[in-house]
Parts: sequence; structure tokens; C-alpha cells
Amino acid sequence: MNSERALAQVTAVGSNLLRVGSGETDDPTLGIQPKRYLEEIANARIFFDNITVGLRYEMDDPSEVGQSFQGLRRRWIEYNKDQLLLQAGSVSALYGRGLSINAFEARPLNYDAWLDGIKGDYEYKWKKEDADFQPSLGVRMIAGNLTFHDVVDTNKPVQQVSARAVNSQLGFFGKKLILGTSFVQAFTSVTEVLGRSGNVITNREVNQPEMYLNFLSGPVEGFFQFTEMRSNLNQVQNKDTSIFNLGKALYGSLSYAGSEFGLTMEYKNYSYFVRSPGADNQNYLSKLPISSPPEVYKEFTYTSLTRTTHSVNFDDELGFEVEADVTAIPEYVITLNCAASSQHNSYALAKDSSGNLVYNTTGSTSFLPKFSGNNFYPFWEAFCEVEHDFGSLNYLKLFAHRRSNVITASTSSADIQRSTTIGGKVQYETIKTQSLLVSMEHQWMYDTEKPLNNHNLLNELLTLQYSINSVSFGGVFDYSTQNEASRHFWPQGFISFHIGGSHTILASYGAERGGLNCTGGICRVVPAFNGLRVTVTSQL
Amino acid sequence: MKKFITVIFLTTCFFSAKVFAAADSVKVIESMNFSVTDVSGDETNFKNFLGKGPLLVNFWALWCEPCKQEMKAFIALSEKLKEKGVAMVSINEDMVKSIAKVRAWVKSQGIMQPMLVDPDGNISRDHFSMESLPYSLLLKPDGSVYKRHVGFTAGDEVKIEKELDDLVQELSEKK
Repeated sequence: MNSERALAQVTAVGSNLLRVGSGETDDPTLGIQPKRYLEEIANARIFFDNITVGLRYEMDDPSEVGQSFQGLRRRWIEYNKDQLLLQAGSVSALYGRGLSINAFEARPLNYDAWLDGIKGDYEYKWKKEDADFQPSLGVRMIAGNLTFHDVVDTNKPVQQVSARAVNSQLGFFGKKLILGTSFVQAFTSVTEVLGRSGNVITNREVNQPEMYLNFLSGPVEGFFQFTEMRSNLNQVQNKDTSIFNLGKALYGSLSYAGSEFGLTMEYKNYSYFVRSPGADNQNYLSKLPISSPPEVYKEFTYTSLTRTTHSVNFDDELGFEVEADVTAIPEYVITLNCAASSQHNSYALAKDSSGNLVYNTTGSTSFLPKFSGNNFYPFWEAFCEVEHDFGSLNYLKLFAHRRSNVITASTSSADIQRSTTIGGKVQYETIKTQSLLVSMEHQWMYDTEKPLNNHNLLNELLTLQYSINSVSFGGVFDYSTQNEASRHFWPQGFISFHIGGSHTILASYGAERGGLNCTGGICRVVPAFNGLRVTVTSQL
Repeated sequence: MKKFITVIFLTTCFFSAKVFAAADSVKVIESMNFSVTDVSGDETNFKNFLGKGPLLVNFWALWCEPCKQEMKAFIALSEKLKEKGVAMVSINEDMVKSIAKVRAWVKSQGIMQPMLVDPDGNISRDHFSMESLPYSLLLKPDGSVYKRHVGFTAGDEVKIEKELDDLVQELSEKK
């Protein structure tokens, strides 16, 4: 009887992802190269009473992005009862909005900042009859190690990170008011190969306190978080030293949630490591890989906009974003969004008294982004979308977008991208269980990295999809006046099947343009691809 | 050889666990006993959404257009079948990048159904092993999964309504 009861407590869930690709890619240095990849990920969660076991087996060989891997990527065991949680193995955490701890994973980029260690959470809530203002006290801790591979600049050496962090949260009025504090201590070590010196090691100690506040009052919600990153380089390329840097990060948001109008404003002021282009100790003092604050610009769903988005410099960037959702007109949804950012300082090369070339600060800003001069790396964009709901799931969306972004800048020149994009999307249920989805995007772009036609080019994107019961098929037609990877036209066909609801097979064949792929502020340049892709997703 | 043994071990563990659960005639919802927070900051336990009738669970994000279409379809279904005990709960998967906008968007759209937030992916990843969006579940009153749906295109709501009707009939026959 006891064994039967024990067996009755065991449940499990799982998932499987298989991705296969075969074709050619456009390598920036080597040109057109054959490309094949195979990714197989199997996840399992086994629940027994208050214990959970999590496993993830991964075979990423050859990988599409980053390093190949085979084996158990994740394994953890968790005990969760009442308000106590204890976990050992692969652990992650998010404190506030991630200015000090946001150890997340972005699989499409092969970005992984999870720790191998332990985690503990406990919360105590006073009952309302014991205290009118319903206080609660939560304590969290995480400690572990990470071997971090930079996916943005793959030439950077591997960084070993050993971190421990503790967080406490005091809540009032049923957590409508939260005061949080955290402290992170981390030790990082980078090993490089340096000419005749062979392997050289750079070590850093980071102490990072932070505080945050969250309040919710009716339709208004506010959040504020501040952290200081106190870094001490005690060894640089095998030489003992003591170099201190005080980095800071500030983030705030304020939102109004009304029945016909929603408004969200966000502000960022990140100075984890502000330095001139020619400064020593580049990147040794950068933000920890386990920190990942908000980017403060919109996450678009249109391909033309996501392909050339802004890459955030978390070490030195300030800016804001405002978004409004208007639903006061029946059957219409209007979305307005604008964002802007820049660096804190602008720099220019000049000769010092000894005749050496040095970077001088030519301008600075402390609070709002500055647009006077490309050397501030200014970025701004404005977006407007109108959606009309025809009933059922039929809709029409029209949008317009304008963006200006300085990619790189020196004393004499700058790489600038400016674009104006218009487009729309329509979905129409032709008959029950069948639907048509059409999306069109037209983009005028000015890109100083594209030499032809005075840097002006046009991009067109048309997507057609028809769905019948569990089958969807269609095509993507991508065109540019600019020659990329020896072509102007990228056609692609796709088909997907849903099998029994739990399984989806997606196959696509054709050419895809390259561009930026960004997740959580981590951006990677995706090269153009031409060939076959197959993805099988299963939930068990 | 080591990798082969690891794969066999994992597969055996997984399917053994499934067999234990399948052989048992009494489904227990202990795995559905976990704390959640809604978009208004209120905390509750996920099991509080169970026990009354079929539950539609829709995972979504602001950047996932098909997810928002699925949520719209689920809202219509849950209102149409409310008297048969059908309910729904949506779980937002936006990360720190967009989490500040979620509440304003939800309220401006007039969504009144329960809306949970999952900015660190704890619910979707650790409790439901979600692989990708769109993803939705149809849960029985005891928390066991009746149907899963990976992906969503307009027209899928017809099949989901049929599944709901079948489940409602199955539950009423058991009574």
C-alpha cells in the first residue's frame, strides 16, 4: 500500500527539440562555406512529492552557433515545500530587473550564464490578523561557478566566474510595496595566450551591492533599481596589480494601466565600465556575464526591424523608452513607441604635449542621451502601429517606423544606419479551420557600410502563409537592391505539421538573409544561410 | 559508449516515471502545487485554478503574435463555455526587457482573465518543460494534462473547442 501510494506521487513532463540544417552560409572572412548543424535537446522533469529532478541532455554537434557540446547540459534536484526552496546542480536567478543577477540562457545565441552550484529561497508572510500592513520577508541566495564563452566576440578568451549572491525582500500591503537589497561577490579569471609569455591570467574581484523598490497602487506601477559594481583587478596578465573601477547602473520604470490606455516609461543609465576607446584593461572590468539589465527599447515582431536593431553597450549607455497602447476606439488598437540612447561621453583623438595620440573627452552627458555628434553613438527610433480587429481572429495591422543608429565612430568618420520602414500584416479565416496570413514590409535604408548608390538601398519582404487544419505552408520573399552574399533575392518555402497537438514539424528550404539576432541584450550577427532546415518540437 | 549509456539511462528514467504515473488510477496534482504571481502583484498557488473544471493554460509573450491570437481565441472559448466550468489562465513569458510593459498592455486590452507573470521562466521551464512559444495546455480538474498544443494558427481554435467539448462530456459522464 505504501509503495503504491509512493508510486502514485510520481509524475513527469518532458520535451524534445531536434534541429537539423544543411546548406551554405556566408562567412564574413571566408565567403560562401558549407554549413551543417545538428541540435538535439531532451528535457525531463520528474516530480515526486516535494522533490523535483530536472535533466537536459543536449547534443549540439556540429553546432549552428558557438561551441559544439554533447552531454548533460543541465541537471538539478530541488526540494520545494511551503515557502522553502532548495536547489542543487544547474541554477539560475533573477533579482529585481537583473542589474546584478540575471543568470539567463538564450539558446538561439548559444548564450548561457547559468551557474553550477546551489540556490535557496525562503519567504515568511505575516497573516493579516497579525499585522494590518501584511508584511513579508523573503531571503534568497545563489552560489556557483560558470565557465563563460562570449558569443558576441568569439575571439575573447573564456572567463571563469565564481559567484555568490544574497537577496532580501521586504514586502508590505500584500507585496504592493517591495524593498529589495542584494549583494553579489564574484571572482573572475581570464586565461589568454600571449606571444612568448604563453598562458597569462587576469584576475578580478567584484563586490556589487544593490537596492530596488517596486510599488503598485491602482493603475500605477513603479520600479527603481540601483547597483554599484566595485571591481578590483588584482592580477593583469600574470602581473600583480591593484586597479579599481567603480561601475554603476540605474534602471527605472513607471507604468499606467488603464482600461482604454496604457503607458509605460523606462529609463536606463548604465556605466558598468565607462572608458575611452584606447583605454587599457579593455573588457576585464566589464559587466559580469551573470548580470543582464533591461535593454530599454522595443522588442519588435517585424523582420526588417529586428534584423538591424540596436546593440546595447551595457558598460556605457543611457537612454529611455516610452510606449503607449490606446484601445479607446472600438475594434482598434494603436501602439506608439519611441526610444533613444547614447554613450555618456564623446571622445576624439588628439596629440598630447609629448606628441602622443590620446583620446580626449570632447563632451559628456549624465542624465539624458545626447545626439550632438556621432561620437556619442546616438540611437533613436519611433514606431506606430494600428490594428483593426474584424472579429474572430481576422485582423489588419499597419505600421511605420523610423530609426537612426551610429554603429561605430571615430574622430574622422562614422558607420551610420538610418531606415524608414512601412508595412502591414493581415490575417483572414477563409473558412473554419483555414486561414491566410500575409505580411509585407518595405524599407528605405541609408547605410554607410554599403558603398553603392550613395549608401542608399531598398529592402522588400513578403511573407505568405496558408493554414489548413494542422498543416501550414507558405513562402518568404526577401529582396534588396544591395548585393549580399552574391544575391539580391532570397526566396524560401516552408511547411509545418502539427501531429496530435504535442508535436510540430517545420521544414524550410531556400535562402535567408543575415542580420542581427538579439535576445536579452545579447546580439550576434547571423550570417546568410541557403539550404534546408528541419525543426521537430515535441512536448511529452 | 559513456554517452550512449547516459542517453539510455535518461530515457529509462523518463519512461519509467511515465509508467508509474500511468499505472496509477488516482492522479495526484502535487506537481501543480507551486506559488505564482499575477500581473497585479498578487501571489497565489497554481493549484487554486484547478479542481473546478477544464482549465485552458496559454503561454504567451508580447513579441509572440500567434500567442496573442491564441489567447484571444481562449478568452472567447472560456466565456462561451463558462457555464460548463471551463476556465483559463494565461502565463506571460516576457523577460526583463519587456516585463515593464506587460501590465499596461493587458489592462488596455481589457483582459480580465487570470494573468500570471513568469519573467525568469521558472513556471514554463521547471514545471511544464515548455520548449517554445506558442504553447498551450488543456488541463483536467485534477491538474493532469488532457491535451497539449505546440504552435498556433488561426483555425486551430475549432479543434480546441472540440477537445473542450469532449473533455466536458467525459467529466460529466464520470460524475
